Amino acid sequence: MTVAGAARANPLDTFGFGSRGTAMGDAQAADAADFSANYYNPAGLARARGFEISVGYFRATHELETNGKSNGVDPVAGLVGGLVLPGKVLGVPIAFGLGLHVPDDRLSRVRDLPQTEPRWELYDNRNQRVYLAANLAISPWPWLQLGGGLSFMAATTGTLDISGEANILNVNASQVRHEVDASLGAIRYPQLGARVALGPRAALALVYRGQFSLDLNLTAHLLGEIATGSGPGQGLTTAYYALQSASIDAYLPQQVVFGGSFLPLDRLRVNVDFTWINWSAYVTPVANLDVALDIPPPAAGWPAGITPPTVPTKTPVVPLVMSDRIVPHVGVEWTAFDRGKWKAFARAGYSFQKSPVGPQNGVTNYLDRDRHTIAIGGGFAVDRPGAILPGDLRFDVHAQFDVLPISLTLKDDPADPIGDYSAGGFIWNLGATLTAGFR
Amino acid sequence: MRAIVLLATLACACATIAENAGGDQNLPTSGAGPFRKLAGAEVHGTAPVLLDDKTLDYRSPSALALGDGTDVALYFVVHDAGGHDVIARSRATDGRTFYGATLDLGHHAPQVLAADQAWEGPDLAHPSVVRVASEIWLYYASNGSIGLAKSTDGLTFTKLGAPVLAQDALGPIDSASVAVLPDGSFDMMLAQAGAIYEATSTDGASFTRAGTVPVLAAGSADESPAFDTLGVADPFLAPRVTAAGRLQVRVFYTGFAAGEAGTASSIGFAARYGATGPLERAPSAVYAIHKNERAPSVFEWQSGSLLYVEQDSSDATYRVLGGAVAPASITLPLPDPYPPSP
Repeated sequence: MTVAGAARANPLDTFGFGSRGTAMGDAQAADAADFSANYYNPAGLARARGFEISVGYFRATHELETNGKSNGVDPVAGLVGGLVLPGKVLGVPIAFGLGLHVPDDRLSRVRDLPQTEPRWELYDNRNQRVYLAANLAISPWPWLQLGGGLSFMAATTGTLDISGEANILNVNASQVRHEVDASLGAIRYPQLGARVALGPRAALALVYRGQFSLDLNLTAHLLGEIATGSGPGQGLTTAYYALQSASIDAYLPQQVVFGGSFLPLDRLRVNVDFTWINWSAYVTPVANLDVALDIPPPAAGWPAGITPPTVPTKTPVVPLVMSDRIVPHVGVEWTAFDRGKWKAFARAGYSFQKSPVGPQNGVTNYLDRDRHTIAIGGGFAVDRPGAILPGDLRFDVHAQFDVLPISLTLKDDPADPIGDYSAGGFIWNLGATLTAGFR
Repeated sequence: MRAIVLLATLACACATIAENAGGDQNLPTSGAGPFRKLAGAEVHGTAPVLLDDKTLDYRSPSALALGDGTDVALYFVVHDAGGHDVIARSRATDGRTFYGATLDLGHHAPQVLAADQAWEGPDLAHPSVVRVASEIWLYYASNGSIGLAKSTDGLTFTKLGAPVLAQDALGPIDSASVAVLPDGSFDMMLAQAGAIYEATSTDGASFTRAGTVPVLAAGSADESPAFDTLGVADPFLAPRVTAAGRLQVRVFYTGFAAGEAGTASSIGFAARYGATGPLERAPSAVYAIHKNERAPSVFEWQSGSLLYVEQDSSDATYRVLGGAVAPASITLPLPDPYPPSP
């Protein structure tokens, strides 16, 4: 038996962080200066003009299908938020930032599947988890900002113990006790960023996000009496079954982002990012199983019609082949309205990721397709809305639409249990973010 | 500031208790299993047995869909009062609860076909039922050849006077399964001398062998796990057009291998793309429960596939019909009441 491991990666890679960044196609490396810089580029935190706190919500609904039928991939929805706390040390601007995504369905999800079972590898499990980032940034010169910190992701490990009696002639007389011991932990990975202002109208940025992987170890022990009845002398033998599953529960490939932000017009900002994702290092999400089964035959042999189970033949693991990708992001922001204390913005963005997953014409079925992301959004800002808030108040909304064009997967083996299929679909992501700035 | 706190509170209040995880609905499948035997809550009586009678000695099921849902007719071989093998029919609206089953008191599956032709022996065997336009055609084996009977209601059949494929130098034909291909032609998989051969026809009434080389023979001796190394038999032909538009000729069959008490059988699967050529076997059995299961027939509906087999009774003294389902992960609803008619 071979089963596939569970969640890999990061909901922010897929759905962005905050409505402004999402609406601009996630092209934010050289532009983000609010809480979203905790993800897009921690160096941007040093550009904050004062303490800011943000809170928002988004919901991404998957409409992913195979053979024209929805696969029911869970939505990703939850709270996003964070804060930026700027200050000065020896006259040098610094800032501390926190970013947070808390899904409202589950904190983490573990799933082991046979390697042959179709699953939307990049959308099913991997985005169902908590994200927390803590960063520090510094601006040693007005034209340079540097930042870095750690991101934390939730991960799960567990053990299952079963013991009891199995009555092979009277199932209702069987008694099984089980004990589940699961723990929700965290894993950290680094991120670093730099931003260079080329003048008041242009800036460049470079961001590195580290990879992480977390082992998922599941163990199961089954110990019990096999009997033909509950009376004395009816016990046949004592069976022991042990399973040790070792796989990668969480894997995020390292990424490097090179981005630019430009103001060709006073009211128009254009951002462009290129993200290199080291998908080729992706760890095959398949567990190595070690199974031990010990069922000594009864002294008088097995009763007629009873055939003891045997250890299933170990299935060879078929590696998941993925390719590195450079993902272009482009975003624009137009200041549609600027009257004194009131401002309004219109935003749009686009990105494209060619699927990193290799052909699935063999026994594995890691579903994925090229992804076109189109986003729009808007926002308004009001400066000094009241005495209680001596800064500004910003409200942003976004609508992101991902298209995964439907295409065919053809199987080489006509006896393949899955067979040919079409796959594709789309994803809707809607959300809003409210930011309060204090000067 | 109060507004911010209010909004944050509202956002936090959106948190809910997670429902069961999704992502595994309507997954693609070629309908080829692996199958799991029906569970206790999915059948009346003792799972996975669907039809059980020591006197009738049920064997060789052949399923025919009666609609888009789970309404299915099942043809099978039973003993008649004289001890000869005849073909009878039953029906289940849920694919599992058959008219005339043991617990369906007062009902008996009606006999629809018995041996009465000059070329036939005293027994009929291995029905294979297929819908052709508005008719139901029932192929059967007798005396080493394959015959055909036609019906408009599925209960009253009229036989052709001669076999559609007679035994030849390869020996008697043990069983055959016929299906209509998308181009309207008829394809037959037949078991003969421990292997599976193929024959074709344009009208379904006269078949011509597609060569003398089997499309599926016994598996190689080094096969692991071994399940059909001693021979293959009882083909069930189930062609389909894949999502990519390719013709996939699927064949379920009985595989024989050495077992602890002599020969053991289980259900295998083989297939090919296109109308001609040898079949590629799946590397392991798609259904194996150590009950000498054999003679598969598969009924597919939107949510899954039901596999019908003949297998040993609980005391291994006669044969019963059992059921299995794929994908193995689905749970069937509680069984329907017994249908009022066959």
